Amino acid sequence: MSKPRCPRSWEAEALEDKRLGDGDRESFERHRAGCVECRAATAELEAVRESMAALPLASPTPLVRHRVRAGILRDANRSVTRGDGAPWPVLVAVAVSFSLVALLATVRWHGRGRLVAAPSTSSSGPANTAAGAAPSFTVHADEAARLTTRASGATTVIALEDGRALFEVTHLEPGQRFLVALPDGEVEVRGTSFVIDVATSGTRTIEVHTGRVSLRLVGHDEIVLAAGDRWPPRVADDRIDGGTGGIDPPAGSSARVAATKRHAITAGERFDAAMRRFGAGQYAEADRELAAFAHEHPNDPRCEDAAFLRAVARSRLGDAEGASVNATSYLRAYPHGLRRAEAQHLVDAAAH
Amino acid sequence: MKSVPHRERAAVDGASLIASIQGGDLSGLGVLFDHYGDDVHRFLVRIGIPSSDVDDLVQQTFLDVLGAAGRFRADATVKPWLFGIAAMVARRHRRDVGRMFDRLRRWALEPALESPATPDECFELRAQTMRAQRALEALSPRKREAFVLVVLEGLAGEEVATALGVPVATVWTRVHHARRELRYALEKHA
Repeated sequence: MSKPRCPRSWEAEALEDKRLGDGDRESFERHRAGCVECRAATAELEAVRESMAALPLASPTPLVRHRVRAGILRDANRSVTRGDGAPWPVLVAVAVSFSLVALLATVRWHGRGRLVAAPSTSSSGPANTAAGAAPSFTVHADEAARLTTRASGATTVIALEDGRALFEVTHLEPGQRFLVALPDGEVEVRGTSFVIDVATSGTRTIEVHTGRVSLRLVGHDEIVLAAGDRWPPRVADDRIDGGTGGIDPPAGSSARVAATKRHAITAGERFDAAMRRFGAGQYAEADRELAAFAHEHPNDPRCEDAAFLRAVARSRLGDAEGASVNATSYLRAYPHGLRRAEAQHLVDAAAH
Repeated sequence: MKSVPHRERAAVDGASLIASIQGGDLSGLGVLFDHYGDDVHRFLVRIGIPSSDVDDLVQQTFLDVLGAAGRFRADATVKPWLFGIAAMVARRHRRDVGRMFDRLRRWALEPALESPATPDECFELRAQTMRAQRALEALSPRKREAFVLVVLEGLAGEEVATALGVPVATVWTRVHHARRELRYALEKHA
């Protein structure tokens, strides 16, 4: 973007914006026909407009449109008839809905499988919360699942050799541990409910419903999975399965891991790993992985986000100086960046 | 996407509609949504609201009409006025690190650009789209709003000025700077 030399080049933008009157427009169009610079300026403006106009716009489906319309009228009616006070009937309805969903989920699991173990308590019994006692938990497993339970003091280990099981573990007291031993690793629980699907050769999937678990697979770093997380991520499934639409592969997770290793780690997977660290509060690791991401994929458009999040990660570690260094790097690399105001704030905060 | 044929859209008297809403006629709000819901949806997508949040913000925009109807000028045009409300709703929604985090997580799990199975043409098209989207997102919200309304929605400078509550000269300045930044971003990654 060199500085324009033609004194009329600014009129290209005025023409694009329909700000020129008829006389000025005709005059400029005659001028432009013989001016290379003004023709180039017009072409640049058109290119920017066309690039942005070509961005895909997802249209709402008729169903979504109907839902939004109904939502508008419902909420508008509520605000007109009752003002903006606390909508307690809605809260009650939401609470009842959640309870029903939870009940249905439990019934579904009870219906499909068997209650395998509830050594200290069941869902209806008193919780065993004394430190030094075994953790309270409930396991609902498929009929075909093979598992064994071993308790030693405040530690309970369930070995899941094959099949699928839902684990519900109440809050663990200090000293209490609950582990699920897998053919290729283990999962340590931190008061949660989650589903594990295991084949004899390894772990297929883990889905965490509430709380957090730590997954430690042989030969891999520990991964913390929070509520809503799934291992492996769905995108990885699709890639490894060859896009079979989520159909489980015949082999177990060992085959999956081997398949994963055959592929280079993609930018998305690398970025996701860093974001998982960030989400789990492991800011030092997140900073390291974001730096690795930017190093390995310097042309990825997420590099700007990575640079900013590195500054946030250091800030959340209480490392104001490190946050300032990372924020300064961000500002240097992205002087017009989306997060420049926040980055500058981190630099200023460290200076005071 | 046209949910209502153009002929019917043109037949709506915006000022009367807003006046009826102000008078408590909620069916008028439904009619307003039928005519302008898709326009507001498109505007919110273009100014960078994540697709998962757009429906909620469309809904909020039309709910805010209830409170703003009294400020509608009888000689004003409805669409730019609605865009102004939507812009305010979007500003409230933006600049939240938590939301940024969620968006980035979803983005990370989208199919990667490096997919060897993707044909070259698809790869390049997707890369260009991501660059353009990224460049648009990198604009400040105010510049992005002005750019979208003028360049992509085709509104007149005066209409945009009214919608955003700024002088017309400010609209042109923002559009000019937005174009410059977009050009720079697109050239840098070309």
